[in-house]
Amino acid sequence: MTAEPIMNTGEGAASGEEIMTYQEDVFRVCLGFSRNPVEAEDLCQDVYLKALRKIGTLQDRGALKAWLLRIARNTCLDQQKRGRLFRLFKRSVARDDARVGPAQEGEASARERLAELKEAVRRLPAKQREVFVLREYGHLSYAELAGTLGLKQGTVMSRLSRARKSVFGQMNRGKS
Amino acid sequence: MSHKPLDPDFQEISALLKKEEDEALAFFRKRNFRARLEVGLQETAAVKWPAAFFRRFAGPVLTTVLVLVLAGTVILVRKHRAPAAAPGFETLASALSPLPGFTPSLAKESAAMTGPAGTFELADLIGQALASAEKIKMEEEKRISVPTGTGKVPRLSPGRRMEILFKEKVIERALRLATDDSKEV
Repeated sequence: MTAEPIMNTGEGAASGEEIMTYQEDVFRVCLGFSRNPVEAEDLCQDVYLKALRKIGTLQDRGALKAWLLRIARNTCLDQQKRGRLFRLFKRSVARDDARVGPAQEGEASARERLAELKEAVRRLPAKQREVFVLREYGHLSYAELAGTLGLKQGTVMSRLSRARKSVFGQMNRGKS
Repeated sequence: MSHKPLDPDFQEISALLKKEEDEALAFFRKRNFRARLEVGLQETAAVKWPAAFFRRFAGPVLTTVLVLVLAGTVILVRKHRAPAAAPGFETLASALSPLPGFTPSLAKESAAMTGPAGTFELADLIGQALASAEKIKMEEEKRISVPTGTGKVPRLSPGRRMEILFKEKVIERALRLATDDSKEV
């Protein structure tokens, strides 16, 4: 990583550098939505381009992470709407299966389970899915989740609980 | 990650998620995201500014140009429109000729006279014709006495009604010609 500031944003130059510290968080959230590392990286870049363009409008620097993750979530949802992610997701599942060699049985089983997990997450209702992704991939706390999604913590917790149960139920059905 | 209520059930899922995440992060760390982002920033700065500029200003500029073109067209059309031909006295005389107080032969002679004298003569005749038409109309109105209190209007024969209508139309036509409000040339 170079020491030069990523973007000369005047007063917000420090913020420009600060947001770079969250790149892995953003990537994880994008991964959660896209389920594909390559696509997640592209999405992450889109998120940063948007964020760096709008960083001057950010008033509260303390809310930087939540602001950034909100941009990430919106960017991913926009992409999903366009149907691009869905197609890539399907392809990534296929690729996961194709990567498995005959000698790696344990690995094959894990890949299969991962594919099932991806499918289970994909089948979640949109509202539950975004909570699940932000929590499990973005590692956001309940408070951060509530801030990012503009919801009450109770709502976040109940959605997350339903999402987990649903994912678990689908995984179990796959197992049996 | 801690999953209190579902911990025993969720362990496998957590492990799968962790594995997926670790692999993806390893891939992400290998790539130089910062360098890619800088390239992306330069590309958007180079490519997007004309698009953003046009998106921002195209609307107002196009509207202004359209308004200016329209205004110019209207001005040009108004400026170069052929002036409406003023009705000649002959036209007025012919329009008024059916009226009882108008003498077509005198009007013809006046129209034939050249210079201001002829014009004044003809204008005088037209004025007389209009005055006489007005007088006739008033007399006729007096003749038709409306009985008070009954609220009934006396019935006129169709012929009489046509006559009144005709005179009124003649006067109206002549006045329209005189006020330059007519399309008639």
